[in-house]
Amino acid sequence: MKQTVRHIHSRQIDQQGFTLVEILIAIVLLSFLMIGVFSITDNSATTIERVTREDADFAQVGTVINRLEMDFSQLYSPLYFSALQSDQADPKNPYAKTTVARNKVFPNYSETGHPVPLIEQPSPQELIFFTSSNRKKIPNSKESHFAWVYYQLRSMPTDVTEEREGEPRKGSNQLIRKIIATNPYDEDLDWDKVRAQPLLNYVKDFKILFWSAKKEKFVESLSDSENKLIIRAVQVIITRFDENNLEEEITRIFRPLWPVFNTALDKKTPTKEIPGVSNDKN
Amino acid sequence: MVKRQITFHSISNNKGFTLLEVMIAMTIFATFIATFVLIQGNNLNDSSMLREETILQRLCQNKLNEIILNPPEFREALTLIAETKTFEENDRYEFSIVYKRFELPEFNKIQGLDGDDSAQQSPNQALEKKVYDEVMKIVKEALWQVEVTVTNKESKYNFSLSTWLRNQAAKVEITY
Repeated sequence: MKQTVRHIHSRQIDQQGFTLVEILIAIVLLSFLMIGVFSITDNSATTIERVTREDADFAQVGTVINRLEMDFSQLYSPLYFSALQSDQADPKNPYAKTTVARNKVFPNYSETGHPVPLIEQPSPQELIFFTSSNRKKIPNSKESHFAWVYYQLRSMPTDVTEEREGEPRKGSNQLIRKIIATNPYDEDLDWDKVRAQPLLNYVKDFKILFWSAKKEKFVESLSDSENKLIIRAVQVIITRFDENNLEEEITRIFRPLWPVFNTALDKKTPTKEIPGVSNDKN
Repeated sequence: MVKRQITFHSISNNKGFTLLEVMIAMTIFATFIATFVLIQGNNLNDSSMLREETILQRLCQNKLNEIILNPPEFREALTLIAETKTFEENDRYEFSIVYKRFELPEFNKIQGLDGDDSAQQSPNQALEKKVYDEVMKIVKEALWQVEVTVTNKESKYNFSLSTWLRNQAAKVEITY
């Protein structure tokens, strides 16, 4: 009986637990491990957040470029396929006596009797043109495929704020797009009434250059290219600040889908009589 | 006596983990950490690849548009040189332009000539061949192929686009 008691006693001593030193070492080791795990998790969370934010910012630029491409590639003017009608109407041309009146936004007519839209550049940062890229979003709404589009750079509204750490984002302008598609033949384009679609914030500069075939380069003003009624290609330069406040310049060239066709030369070239084929236009 | 044995046994069991157990635990832990780090790396990689590809695509499209707007003079010599140049506005990227003449694969089969152009041609076939040759002659002058490849000089990532070019100087003349 005595022996058993002693044994139990000795067992109790052995089972007392860890010593203080052991515990301290264990805590130190564990804390190192935990610091490691924490830093990895924290780092990962920050990275995913940053990547998502930067990619969203980057994708925004892509969306703007797609929008511009849609509008410019489907630019509409009858001058892509027919020459400009001169003031002295050719009596032989069956389309000369067209009944549609000229107005402010369609001042000219093509040889085929189509009204020729005006392209306006109120300032180097603005452009108003006629495109066929509009698509109805609401079925049966009174919207045409043809639309007047207005690209404009304006100062950023104050309510566009973004929560961010560090220094505020540079770039104080906003690129906007306005569209009139309800009655494209109406000459009073009231742009103030149209709701602006904000395309891109934190823009420093926005420029549209026009291709001049004679000079073989892009020129600043539309009237410097050969024909100010027709756009062969545009070079769009957007200067902006990205998420990290770094200035980036995005340059893209857009071409209308119409093939290059010399309509003036076509008008001048007399139609040859083909033997055996009647050339009667009526 | 029996009791003593049990006590002894229980003490030996309380010694701690064996080396094997510790190693298994560490392996599991390491796998977990490695997967975590790897996923994070993939995220960053995807993001930078997306950027790289977009930049390459933009540069390539711009270059191709420039060529379409301002095509070179179309001569046979154009097909011999493949020029590689660095972008003026971005010296990290270079481009190469390759021009080729119009080619129609299996043109002979379209014409119905399967190699045996023997003397027994009917007058109809001869006329057909003449028409094909005339059309081919015109198309060969009027249409050219171009391929633009943009390469990142450091990472060697590249992107290429190709299109048809129309030779405005080519005349469509049919002799009959």
